[in-house]
Amino acid sequence: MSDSTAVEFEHVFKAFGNRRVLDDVSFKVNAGEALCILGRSGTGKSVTLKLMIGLLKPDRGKVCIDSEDIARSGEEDLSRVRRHMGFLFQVLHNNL
Amino acid sequence: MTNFFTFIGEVSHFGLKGLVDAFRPPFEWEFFVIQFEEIGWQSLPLILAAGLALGIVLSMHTRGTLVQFGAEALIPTLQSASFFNELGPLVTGLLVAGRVGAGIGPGIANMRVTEQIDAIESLSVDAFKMLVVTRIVACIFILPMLTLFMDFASLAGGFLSEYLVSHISLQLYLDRAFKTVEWANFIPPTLKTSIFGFIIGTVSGFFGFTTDEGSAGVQRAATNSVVLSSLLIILADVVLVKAIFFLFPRTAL
Repeated sequence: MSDSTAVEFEHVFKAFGNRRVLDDVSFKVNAGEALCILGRSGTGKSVTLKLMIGLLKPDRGKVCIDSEDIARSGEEDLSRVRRHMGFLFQVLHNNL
Repeated sequence: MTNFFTFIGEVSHFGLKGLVDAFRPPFEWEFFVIQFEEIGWQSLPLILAAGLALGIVLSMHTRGTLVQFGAEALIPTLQSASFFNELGPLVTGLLVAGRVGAGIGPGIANMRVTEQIDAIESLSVDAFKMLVVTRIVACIFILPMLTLFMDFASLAGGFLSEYLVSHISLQLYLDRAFKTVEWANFIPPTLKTSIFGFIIGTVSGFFGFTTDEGSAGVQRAATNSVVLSSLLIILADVVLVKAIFFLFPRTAL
């Protein structure tokens, strides 16, 4: 992984029960690069994003943010990583 | 059977984590105050109305029996003993389990399925502390207070019922009601409701926080929160009453 790599997925697998959502997914996004992921509903776009900020853990594989594998990070490390990331959810609710 | 023990382990771990996190900064005071208002203040009318009605009903029932033995003077004593020792704490626990459990469980579950909890966590905020710990702590503190209101509302109901039948004075009613009440009859049963509060907060929080089944999960969280909280309160009460008898033997007499 080069120093300019901001996000990297390495052979990521994620399943919910018997439903395999991500099956050996690998890609790389360099710093300053824009990436658009397109797909039908249920193909794993949101799961990919949630893996990227540690809201979900992959069953197998590596999810690296700035060279740090967050799939194995604790809550404190995840908090540190999340402070540098923005995430916009589809629908904004507020029950607080 | 394995699933059952796994479930018990998960709920216990969830509750203990909640207790440990309650002492770990940062403290969510603002959310604690909100929960105090929602769980405590908004439950007060229900508790007062139920206490008043139960006091009247118990008084009417005991009068019918005690009059046969010429012991109607014991009605206030029986009323206070029943409510301070058992009925007040238990009924308060069950009522709050119904009202608050049905609010906490689906409330948090709804936040889970609408990705609000994900949104909170993506902002590096500990959603467990913010949503669950504040509710558990609020329940622990609020239940004993609500129990006091239940106890005294029931005495008011009992007095009202007796006054309408026998025109007993308030002074005499209270003298008879508190003649045999000791601190050991009053403090431990009232404080045991903190454990009921812990059960309600933990069980409801667990079903809400761990749901992952969409709108069906919200519905299930509501049902499970109320049913399991109520059941565990009754089961815990058996153990707690025995523990109080053991620690304060005079209350068992």
